[in-house]
Amino acid sequence: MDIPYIEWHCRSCFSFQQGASHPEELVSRAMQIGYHGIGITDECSLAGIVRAYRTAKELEFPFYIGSEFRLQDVIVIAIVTNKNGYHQLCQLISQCRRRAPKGSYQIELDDFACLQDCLVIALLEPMALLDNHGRYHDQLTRLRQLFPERMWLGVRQRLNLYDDDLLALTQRSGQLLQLPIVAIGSVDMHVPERQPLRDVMYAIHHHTSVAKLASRQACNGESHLRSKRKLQRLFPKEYLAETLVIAERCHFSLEELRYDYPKDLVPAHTSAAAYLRLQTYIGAELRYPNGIPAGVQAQLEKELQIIHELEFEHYFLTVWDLVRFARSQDILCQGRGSAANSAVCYCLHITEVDPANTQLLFERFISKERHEPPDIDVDFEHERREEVIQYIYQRYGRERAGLTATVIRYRVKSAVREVGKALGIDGHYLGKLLKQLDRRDKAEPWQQQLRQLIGASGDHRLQQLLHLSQEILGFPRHLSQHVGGFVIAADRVDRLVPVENAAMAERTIIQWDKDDLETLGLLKIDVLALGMLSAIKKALKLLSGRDGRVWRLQDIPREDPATYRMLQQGDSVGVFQVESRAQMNMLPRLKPQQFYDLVVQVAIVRPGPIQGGMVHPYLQRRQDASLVSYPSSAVKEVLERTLGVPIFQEQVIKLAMVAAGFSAGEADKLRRAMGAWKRTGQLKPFQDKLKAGMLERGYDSEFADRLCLQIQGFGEYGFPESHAASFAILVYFSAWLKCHEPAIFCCALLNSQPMGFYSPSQLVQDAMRHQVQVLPPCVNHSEWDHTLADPNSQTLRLGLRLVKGLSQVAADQLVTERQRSGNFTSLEQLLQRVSLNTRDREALAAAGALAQLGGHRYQTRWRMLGYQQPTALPLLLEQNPEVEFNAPTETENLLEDWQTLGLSLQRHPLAILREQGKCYRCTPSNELLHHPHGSLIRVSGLVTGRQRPGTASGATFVTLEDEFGNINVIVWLATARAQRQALLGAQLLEVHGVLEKEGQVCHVIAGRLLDRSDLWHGLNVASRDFH
Amino acid sequence: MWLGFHFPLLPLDAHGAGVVETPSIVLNRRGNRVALANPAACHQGIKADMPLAQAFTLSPELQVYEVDPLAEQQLLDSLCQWLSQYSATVCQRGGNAIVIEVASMCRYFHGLATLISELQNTIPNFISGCDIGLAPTPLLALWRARSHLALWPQEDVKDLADLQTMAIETWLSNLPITAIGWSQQEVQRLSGLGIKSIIYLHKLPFSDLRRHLGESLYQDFGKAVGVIKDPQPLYVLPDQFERHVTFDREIEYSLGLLFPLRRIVEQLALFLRRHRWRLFDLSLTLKLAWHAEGQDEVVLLLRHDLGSDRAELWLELAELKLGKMLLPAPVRELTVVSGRWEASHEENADLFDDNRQRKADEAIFLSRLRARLGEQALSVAHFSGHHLPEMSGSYVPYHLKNSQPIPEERPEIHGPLLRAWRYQRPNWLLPQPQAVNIAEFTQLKVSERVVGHWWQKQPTETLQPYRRDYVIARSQDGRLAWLFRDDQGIWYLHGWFG
Repeated sequence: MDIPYIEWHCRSCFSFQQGASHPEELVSRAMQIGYHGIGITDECSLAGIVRAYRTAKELEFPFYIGSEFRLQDVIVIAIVTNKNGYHQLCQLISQCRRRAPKGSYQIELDDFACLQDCLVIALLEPMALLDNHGRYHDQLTRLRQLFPERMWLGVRQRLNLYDDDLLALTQRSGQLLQLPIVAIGSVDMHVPERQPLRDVMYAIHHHTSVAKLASRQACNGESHLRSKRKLQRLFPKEYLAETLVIAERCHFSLEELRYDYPKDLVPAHTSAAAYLRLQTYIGAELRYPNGIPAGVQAQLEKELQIIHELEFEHYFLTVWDLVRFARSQDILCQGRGSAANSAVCYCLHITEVDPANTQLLFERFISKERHEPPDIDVDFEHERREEVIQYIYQRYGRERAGLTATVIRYRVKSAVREVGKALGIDGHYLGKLLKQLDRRDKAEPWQQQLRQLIGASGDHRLQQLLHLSQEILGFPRHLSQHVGGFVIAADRVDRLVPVENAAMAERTIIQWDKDDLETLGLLKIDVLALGMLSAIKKALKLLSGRDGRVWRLQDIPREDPATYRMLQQGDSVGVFQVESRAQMNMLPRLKPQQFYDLVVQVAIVRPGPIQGGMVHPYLQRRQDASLVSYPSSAVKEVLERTLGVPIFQEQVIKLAMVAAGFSAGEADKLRRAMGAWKRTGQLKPFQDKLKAGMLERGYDSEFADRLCLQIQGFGEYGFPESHAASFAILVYFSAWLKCHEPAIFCCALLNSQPMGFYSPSQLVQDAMRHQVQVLPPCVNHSEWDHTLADPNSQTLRLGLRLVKGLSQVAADQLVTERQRSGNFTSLEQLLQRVSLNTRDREALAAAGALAQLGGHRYQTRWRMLGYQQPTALPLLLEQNPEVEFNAPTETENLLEDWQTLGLSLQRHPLAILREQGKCYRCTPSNELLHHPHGSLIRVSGLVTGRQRPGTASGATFVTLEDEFGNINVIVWLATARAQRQALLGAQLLEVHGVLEKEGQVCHVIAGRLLDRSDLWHGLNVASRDFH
Repeated sequence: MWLGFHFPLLPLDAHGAGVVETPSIVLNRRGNRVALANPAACHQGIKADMPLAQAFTLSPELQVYEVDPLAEQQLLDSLCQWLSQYSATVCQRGGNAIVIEVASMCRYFHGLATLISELQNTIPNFISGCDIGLAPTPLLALWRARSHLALWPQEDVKDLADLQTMAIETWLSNLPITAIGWSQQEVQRLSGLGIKSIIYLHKLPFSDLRRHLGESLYQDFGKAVGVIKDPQPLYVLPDQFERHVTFDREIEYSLGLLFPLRRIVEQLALFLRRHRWRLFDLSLTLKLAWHAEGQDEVVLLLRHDLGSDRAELWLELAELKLGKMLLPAPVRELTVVSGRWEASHEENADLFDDNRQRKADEAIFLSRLRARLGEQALSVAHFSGHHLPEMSGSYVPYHLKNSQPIPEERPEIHGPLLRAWRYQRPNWLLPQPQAVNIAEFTQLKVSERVVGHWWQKQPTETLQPYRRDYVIARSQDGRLAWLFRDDQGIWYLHGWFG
C-alpha cells in the first residue's frame, strides 16, 4: 500500500550554512524515494525556490513554496496556498529582513497576521519542555487565532532524547487547542551522507569548530529525506495522511507570477506598441536624417513585430526612458551586449552600433523560439551612474525597483579556509596552504596540489579537509549585490520576490539572482558604470570649450586612416579595451584598417579564441588571403566575415548547428551551458556531441577539437560579436581622440581617474612622448581638474587634484579667489587672501605648486609650516630671521615629485641612472628594434606591472619602464621560480635575456634577473601586480 | 651620562626565534604584513611591510608568529632586571628599549669603558640583538643605539669627564632622521625640507621648531639635546615574592627541604602581611642534581582556595605534600614563587554565624587533601552537553573547575538536554560498553539514535560516522539496562538504570 507523504519542512543550502543540500537535490531525491511532493521552506527566505521549481518542473513533481520562521519556543512554517498568499509571504519576509542587518531577520508573532492566504505548521522546540510559564502555549494560541482552520501542529521523530516528550507536549497542545497534527521531517540534507558537511556548515555558522559545537549540533543524521518505510514506523498513519490534506489546499505555482513592467511611460489612450513604434521612428529620423535605409526599415518592422508578439514593449520603453534621462542630464551612455543586435535599440539611442553598417543577429537578442526576456545592459559614465540609479528610485519608488542579487558561492580559497577552521585546523597553517595553491594551474588541479601539500601528514583532519572542501565547493555562502541589475515592477517588487538589506547603506536587493529571473522570464536592466564613457565625455567637453561649438560623439569623424595607422603601431596607451599589453602586442599583427577589424581585435585576445587556437590562423589568413578556405558553403556563410576562423560566441553556436547538426533548441542549451559552465560544468556532453556531429559530417578532427576547446574558453569569458561591436565603437572614439587630440585625451583620462590600466604617471609620460607639453600644478594656473593650458596648443596643465593631501575645498577656494581678484603675486599675499590650514599649505608647497611665488620647495615648505594666522588682537607674533635652505638637487626634486604627486615631469630616473653609468650595457627601449632577433640583450627599468594570465602557461609578464617607453619581459616559470626574490621584490629591475622580435613587436625572454632597487634609494613606484 | 639599549629583534626573541636558522617573521597587528623578519628571513629577501603572501612566495617554509605583547614585556622585564645590576636608574622606553644612567656608577665599576665592556660581555643569551648607544641624555642615547653609530663619538675620548664636556653637536653628528623612530609623516616632512640628519635640526632656531615642525618633534628634539627636561619613569621590580636558594649540599629526602623552607615561608608571611595580601598559590621548584625520570626539576604547587597569609598553613601544606613524595634525585636548588594573591580585608565575625567558619574549615580540609593526594586525585563532575553519552559528562580536576569552558552557556540548549537525560539515560554508565547477547534481555522501549564524532575518525574512504541505536531493556534478573546496537548489528550494554 502506498504511504502518502509530503515533506513540508525542508531547508536547502539557501538557508545559508544550515542546509547541506541544493534545492535541486532535495526535489530529485524526494521524487526518487516516492514522496508525493516537497515544500522548500528556507529560513525567512525564498532564495532557493526558483531552482527547486525548475527541477520540479522538469521532473513533473509536485512542489510547494513556504518559509520557516523561528520564534523562541516555536518554529513556524508558512505555506503558500495561492498567488495572494505568495505575495503576502514575500512581503512578510521583506518586512522581517528589512528590519534587521544584512543576513538576519526579526519577526514578532503578530507579523503573521498578514498571511491571510497561507497555512502554517507550528513545531515545538525542545526549549518548550522547560517552559513553566506556558510561553509556548500563548504563542500557539495566538497563532491559532491568526490562522483559524489554517494551522497544524507538526511532530518530528528524529530519534533523539526529546522525541517522546515533544510528541506528548504536541499532542496535549493539539487536544487543548483542537489542532490537527501532521508528520514533519525537518530536513536539512537530502541524504544522510551529507551529515559531515552539515556539521561543518553549522560550525561555520556558529564561528567555531565541529569539536566545540557540542549540544548545538544534531545528535544524529536523521534530518535527511527518510524512506517512506521508515516514516511509516515512526509516525501514526493519520499524521502522514495529514500531509496530503495540507497539499489539497495549495494551488500555487511560480508560473502564475504575472510580471508586469511599469506602464507609467505610455500616455493615456495609447497602446504600448504604438508608443514604442512612435518613439522608434522619431529616433530613426534623427539617426538617419537622409532617410531610413530600406534594410533598416525592414529590420525595424521585423523587430517591432516580434517585440509586440512577446509583449516586451514596456521593457524597451523603460530602458529608453533611462537613456533619455541620462541624455537630458548630459550623461553619456551606451548599450552593450546582445542589445547591440537590435535596430530598435539603435533608433531609441540605447546602443550605437548602426545596423546599416553591420550584419547583426537580432535573434541573438530576442527570439520567439526561446521566449525568454531580452537582456539590455547600458553603460553610463562611471562618475554619474549613481544619478541614474537615484532616478530609478525616484521615478518608480523603492517599492517598485530592486537590485538583483548575486549568489556568492564557496570557491577554492573560501572553502579550504572555512572548512579548515570548522575542523579546528590552525588559521596560519591554512593561510600557508592557500598561499601555495596555484588555482590557475591547469595541469595540476587544486585538489591534487592540496593533496601533495598535505602529503603524508598524520593529521587525519587534513584528509577530511580535502574531502569536505571539494564537497562544499559551489554551495552558496551569502547573497550579494549585483553590479547594476535592476528589476522594476508595475506593482510592488516585494510582492514579487522578497527584498532584503544589502551590505551597502540604503541599498536593498531582491533574493533572486539573474538565473532565477531568467527562469521565471522576469526582465532586468543592467545599469553599469564605465570609466571610459566619463573620459570621452570630458574630452568632448574640452573640445567644445576649445572650438566654441558643441562636440558630440556623432561629430567624431569615422574611419579615419590616421587613427588606424596609430593603432597599427601598437600605440594605444589609454585607448579603451586595447591598452593592455596583450592587446598592444596584437595590434601590429592584426593591423586594424576598418571598424570591423576593431570588433575582431576586441574579441580576439580572450580565453575563447586563445584556448581554441584560433588567433594564429586568423592572423595568418589576414596576411595571406590564399589560406582562406571553407570546408563547406554552410560554414562559409557563418565564418566569412572572420576569414574562416570562428572568433565570436555566436559563430560557434551557429557552427554547432550547421556543421554538427545541433537543433535550434540544442544550440540554445549550448549557449546557456557556456554561460553557466563555471558553475555547473555541463559542457562536456555538448562537446562530445559537437565532435561526433562534425566528424560524421566529414569535418576535420583537429578543427572539431579546437572548436571544443574554444567552447570551453567561451565558458570562462563569453564574448559575443554584438558586445565586441559596442566596445569597438568606444575603442575607435578613444583612439581618434588620442591620435588627433593627445593633450585633451590625456587630460580627460587623468580627470576620470581612477580608471583603466595605467597610472597617471604612465599616461603623462605617454602624452609627453606624443609631443604634449605638460606643465606642473601651480596655484596661479591650475584648477582642481587638469586643464588645457592653451586651447590652441597641445599643452596640458596638471590640476591640483594630483597634489596629495590637498583638500578639494581648499583648491576651490584658491581658484575662486584667483578668478575674483587675479593671480597671487607672493606667498604672503596668497596667505592673506585665502585662509588655508597647515595641511593644505604644506601639501601645496611640497608639491611645488607655490614655486612661482616663493622659490624652491624646501624654502616654501618651511615658510608654509611656520605661517601664523594673523589675529584680531594686537599681539606681536614671534618672528625669527628667515632660515635659508639649500635648493633641492635634481634627484631630490624627482623623489619629492613622486612622493607628493605620484609622477614627475623632470627627467626619468632611468635617464639619470644611465647618465651616471649605472645601467651598464643596458639597451634603452627605443633601441630594441635595432637589435637582431635572438640576440643577447640587457635591459633595465622601473617595474610597472607584473602579470600572470591564466592562458599563459605559467609565464609571468613584467613591464619595465625607462625614459623612452616600456619594455616587455617574459619570465618563464622555471626562471621565475629560481629568481623569485628579484622578480617579486624589485622596483628597479635589470634583465639579461634574449630578444624576440616579430615585426614591430619586441619581447625580452628573461634569463637573469637582477634587483637594482638599491641604486635609487627611496624611490617608491607603484607597480600593478597580478591584477 | 646615559646608555641606551635597543633590542630590534625583541618580538621574535619573545618566541625564541631571533637567531634560529628557520626564516621567521612576526606579523603586524592586522596579520597581513611582515612586521619584523629574522636574519634568515631577511637573507631570503623578506623585509618589513612586505605582504604575507609575497613573503610566503619567497620562503615557503617561513615560520610565522603573532605579536605577543605579554611575552615581550616579560622579556623586557628580565632585561631590566639584568641591567639593574649595573645601575640604580633603569627605565623602559617604548616596547623594545631601555635606558640606564651610568655616570654615577662609573666609579664603582672602575670607569665607563669597563662598565660598558662588562655589560657587553654579560648580554643574556635569550636576546639575539642588542644595540648600545651612549649620550648625555636618555633619548639621545637611545637614538644613537637605534642608528647603529659607534659607541664613542670620538674614538680616543673615553673618559667620563671629557665626554660630559663634549659639545652636543658631536653627539648629534651623523644621526640620520630615518633611524630614530619618528613617524613616517614626520620623516617625510623633514626630507621634504632637505633635512637628512639630526644635526641639521640643531642648526635651526630652536624656537622655530615648534612652530614649523610641530609640538611632538619639538619636544623630542628638545629632550634629546637636553633643553627640555625628560623625566624617566623608573623601573620598579614586580610585586611578587620570589626566593631562590642554592644548597651547599644536596638534599636527599623530601622532608629535609622543610628546614630551609620554614625560613622562606616565614619571610613570605612577612611579605604578605606588609602588603596586606592573602596568597592562593605558592610554587616550589626543586632543581634536581641530575636528570632523573625524564625531568631536571620538580614543581610543587600548593593551593588554598580561601587564600592565607599564615606561615603555619603554607608550611603544613608543604609538609603534607613533601611527606608523601619520593625525590627522583637529590635537590640542589629551591625556588619559591608566590602565585595568585588578593588584598586581604578585615572582617567582623558574626557571633552566631558559623557558616564562614564552616567554609574556612572546608577549604582547609580540601587544601590538605589536595596537598596530600595531589591535584589530579580530587575531581568534580562536569556536564559538557555532548550528545555522545560517554562525552556528555566528565570529571575535571578540582582546581580547573572554574576555568572549564562550558560549550554552550545558553540554558535553552542545555536545559532540555539535561531534563531529557534525567528520564531517558541511566546515571550509571559503564566505563566501556560491553558486548552482550540480546536474547538475555527483554526490549522495552526504543530510546534514541546517536552518531559518533566523524571528525575523530581516521581517514577512510567515507566520512560517515558510526551509529548507535539505543534501547531500554530488562535483564533476566530484573534490572533495567541501557543497550545499543552498532552499525554491525552487535549489541552492547552501556549502562544501568536505578
